[in-house]
Amino acid sequence: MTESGTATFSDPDECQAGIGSATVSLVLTSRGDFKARLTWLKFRHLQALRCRENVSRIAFVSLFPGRVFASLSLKPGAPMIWSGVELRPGDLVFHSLGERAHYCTKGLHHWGLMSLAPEQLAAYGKVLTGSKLTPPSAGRVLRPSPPAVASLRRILSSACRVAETKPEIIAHLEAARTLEQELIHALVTCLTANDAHRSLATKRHHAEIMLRFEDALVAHVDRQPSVPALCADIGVPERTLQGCCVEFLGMSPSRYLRLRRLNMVRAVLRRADPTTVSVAEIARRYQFSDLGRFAAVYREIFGEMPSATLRHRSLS
Amino acid sequence: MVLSMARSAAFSFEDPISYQTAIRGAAVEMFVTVKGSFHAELMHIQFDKLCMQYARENLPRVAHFAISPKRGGIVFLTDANQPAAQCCGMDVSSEAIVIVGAGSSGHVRSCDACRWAGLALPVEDLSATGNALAGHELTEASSTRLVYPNPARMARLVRLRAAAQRLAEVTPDTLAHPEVSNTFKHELMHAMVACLADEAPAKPTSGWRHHTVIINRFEKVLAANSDRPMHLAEICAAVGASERTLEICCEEHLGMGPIRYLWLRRMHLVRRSLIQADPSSTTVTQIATGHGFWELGRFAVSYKELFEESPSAALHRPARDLRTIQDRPRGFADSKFA
Repeated sequence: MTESGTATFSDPDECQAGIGSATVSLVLTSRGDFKARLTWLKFRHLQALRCRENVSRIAFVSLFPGRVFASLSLKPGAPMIWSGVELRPGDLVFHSLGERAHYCTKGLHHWGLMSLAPEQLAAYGKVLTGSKLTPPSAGRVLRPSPPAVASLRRILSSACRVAETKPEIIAHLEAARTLEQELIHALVTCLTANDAHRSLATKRHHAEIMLRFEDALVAHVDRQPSVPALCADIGVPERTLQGCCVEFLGMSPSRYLRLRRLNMVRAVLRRADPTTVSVAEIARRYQFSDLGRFAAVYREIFGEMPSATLRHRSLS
Repeated sequence: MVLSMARSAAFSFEDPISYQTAIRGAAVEMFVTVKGSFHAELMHIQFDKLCMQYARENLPRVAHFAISPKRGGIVFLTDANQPAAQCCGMDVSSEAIVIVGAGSSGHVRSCDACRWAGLALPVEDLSATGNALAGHELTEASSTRLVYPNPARMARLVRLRAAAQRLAEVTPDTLAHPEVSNTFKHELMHAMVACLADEAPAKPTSGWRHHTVIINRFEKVLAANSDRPMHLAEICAAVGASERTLEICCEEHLGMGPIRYLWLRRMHLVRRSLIQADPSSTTVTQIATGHGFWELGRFAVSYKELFEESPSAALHRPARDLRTIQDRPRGFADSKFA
């Protein structure tokens, strides 16, 4: 039975939770009123998701290891950086099983994520191309032919539009079967394309460092670590981490840490009760000691005062 | 010797579905491949056991045929100036004859308007005639072959065929006369045997045979699921060929890729359902989604483009249209092609 649905989020935390097949942590990196619309389709074999979001962000994504994923941007726009690789508009990322990577976007962004069980991917690959399709040991950036990408984009976008406006059509067995087959065919065609880059060996080495960096951040969940402390944990010189962060996140590690803390404060403020807790308390908990400066930076990123975020809850 | 008289009948069709069912001696499934209003005329003349058919069609189409296991014969294009057709991936010009053995099957497609004729006999008569007149069997069961007869013999066959048609149209009473009918039958059979007796068959390559095996499996899968939309992956799995191989075979035999062919097939299945459905209890959406069309706007546009009629107009058309057109014999003399 095919399941489909759609939901709009203004809270990044809720949006993260809405992406069922992956764990995502979002750090918004530019000013804007966050809005994301997720539309999902779960067929017998294939699962597909479309996300339309409007604010620049860095996402650290951990894919569910039981399925093989592929992702692509659905609307040509500002470049997207996946695991330190700048993606061109027609590029498709063929993810490794259980991949963890950073995804950075700028501004308005529409992207799609599709997945199949490994044995289904192998079977469809075998049937359609004559050779097995297996997930890569490390994520690959593929550059399919423009018509192949256009076809995949068109089918996925139309399918999501139908799921949003006429879900009863997708609930129809034969319509869902055809749609799933069309999507799988377009996906398999794209997955047999060549790599966009000759070698990503250096990137992969840096990606390892970035994973250790994220792991170290999680290990320090209670106290906010300094960059030198993190470098000691990871075992790389500061200059190396600096280079990797610019490459993968588009900013220095210290700026990323601060943005990350600001996003955490915002998530707490959204849920806090203004009658029992103050902005100052929460800010201090995340090591913002200068309240005036904190409020200014907060407003610069989120477009509102921290006190307004806190009050928002009592209003709604 | 008992002489029986020839019986002839002519039909006119506005719909491939009724046309294909009227073709004798073979189960035919036909898809028109371009947009336009279809029109076809078919004439049967039965000279005792020899059956002659003559047809004119106005649009290119692809058809799958399965010849009855009890009859075999020949098919050829009747006009020298018409473009070649393709049968089982082989080009068939008006100089060639396709020998269709009893129980054979394959695809035949035309690229434009087409005029063709067929002569068929029960297998035992075909075998007896071959042995008597040529000294060997003329057809091979379950196989389709192409031959290029001596042009003079081919011309004689074409002339005789045309004469029989004219007689059936203009003075059917003369044709019904047992003497005339019997003479025609013998002349036609002689002409046919003469064409086949000195055949120089084109040796099929192993690649062609392999592709024919694949395309036959492809049609078998489709036939086993005649009312159900079919998709590429399940077909590749059932046929045992990759998309690339299937594409080459389909281009060769059907003149289009498998995706387009499957889509065309679904469009024709929808059309048949629409015409046969009861508009008071069924909707276009139900029928379209039932055939796997999930983008209804796009479906309606393609439907209209292909059939020059909206899906809802097809639904509201009385189903008996299909039969009445078929049941009304008429002469070719006053037809659209005359």
